[in-house]
Amino acid sequence: MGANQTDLELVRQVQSGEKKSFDVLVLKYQHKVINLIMRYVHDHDAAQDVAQEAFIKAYRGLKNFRGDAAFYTWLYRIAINTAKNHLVSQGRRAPATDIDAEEAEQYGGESALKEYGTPEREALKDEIQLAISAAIEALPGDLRTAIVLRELEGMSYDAIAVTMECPIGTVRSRIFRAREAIDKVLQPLIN
Amino acid sequence: MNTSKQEYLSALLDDEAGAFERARLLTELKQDDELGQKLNRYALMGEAMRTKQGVVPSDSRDFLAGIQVALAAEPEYTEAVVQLADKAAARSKSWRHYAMGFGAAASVAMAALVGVWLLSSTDSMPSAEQTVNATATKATPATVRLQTARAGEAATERPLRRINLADSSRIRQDNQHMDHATRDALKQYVTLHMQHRANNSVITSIQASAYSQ
Repeated sequence: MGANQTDLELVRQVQSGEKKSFDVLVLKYQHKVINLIMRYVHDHDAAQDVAQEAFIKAYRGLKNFRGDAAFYTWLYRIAINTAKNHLVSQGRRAPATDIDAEEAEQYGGESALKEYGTPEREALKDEIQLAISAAIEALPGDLRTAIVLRELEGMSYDAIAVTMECPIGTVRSRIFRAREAIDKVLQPLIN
Repeated sequence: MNTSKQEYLSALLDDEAGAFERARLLTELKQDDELGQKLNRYALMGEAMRTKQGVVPSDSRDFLAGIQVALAAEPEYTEAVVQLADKAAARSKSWRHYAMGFGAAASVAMAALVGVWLLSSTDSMPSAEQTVNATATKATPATVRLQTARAGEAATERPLRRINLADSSRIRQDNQHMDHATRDALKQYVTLHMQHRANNSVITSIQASAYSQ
């Protein structure tokens, strides 16, 4: 996975004094980081706290970030260490094995790492999952293929354009329209 | 929010927006909360698609607010802070570089000394005692002297570090009768050493001195 130019630009902005740029990184990676931490800390509220702590540590450590690795790979390591430290502070043993950062990008979840949430939260989670699945199923074939290739296969727009035999602008438009269709069912649920 | 902007926002999440659109959107994202929430939801749906177990959405505004409160007291970065961190990293790198250089030079020195010893041991002219002194001085970077003096006379210049091989290996040779092979080997070694010395300031330079009657 190559260096993410958007992340790199945001990091450079933070490093040159634009604190607000860090908010964009938080908005972008919030769910990914919480989900990652949930594999260690199975309580959702605790996972949120640990994720916040990880982001705060990341901000403090950004002065040392020089872009040798992708920002998310770097953030991932901080999140894992923060989660492990949390477990140790709770008198629990951290898992001996980690999930590779690259693998974590496309991680599908495992039954051994279940969350023990409240019934309401579990119900909301199921509802969201069903709504997203239904929205994807309802998409026209070309939009569905484009979003699946992007989100599940992690393909670049170039690669999707080659696969779907269409211009790259069409790929961008299809992915956007697919997201908008999903957002229509997602937004009312999370608000 | 117009469609074009949202389309580029979607591309931005995938790092597929062009440089111009990226710069424009990053500026807007810092001012437009609604645009930020949209980015957050786009990210959430991707995560939900990848995670078979499902994702519990956390309130992005609360989550972000918690971080903002914690970081409120933190000073903003300045170029100077980041440059200092870079310099610190560079310094630790340069020490590793020096250490590697020192190891390489030590190996060269050892090989050369063994070579000198082997060559000199074939000659049988024990009229003078040759010592090889090692000196480290920054002020004399590329000068190497083969000093000839009577046995028992001390070298006129005081070396900072001295390796006296006379005691350990008993090299005995009259410098005036030093054969060409030995002289060439010694010269080659000294040249190599001084090249290293020029590049690595912590490496000990070696001054070869020979004592003769």
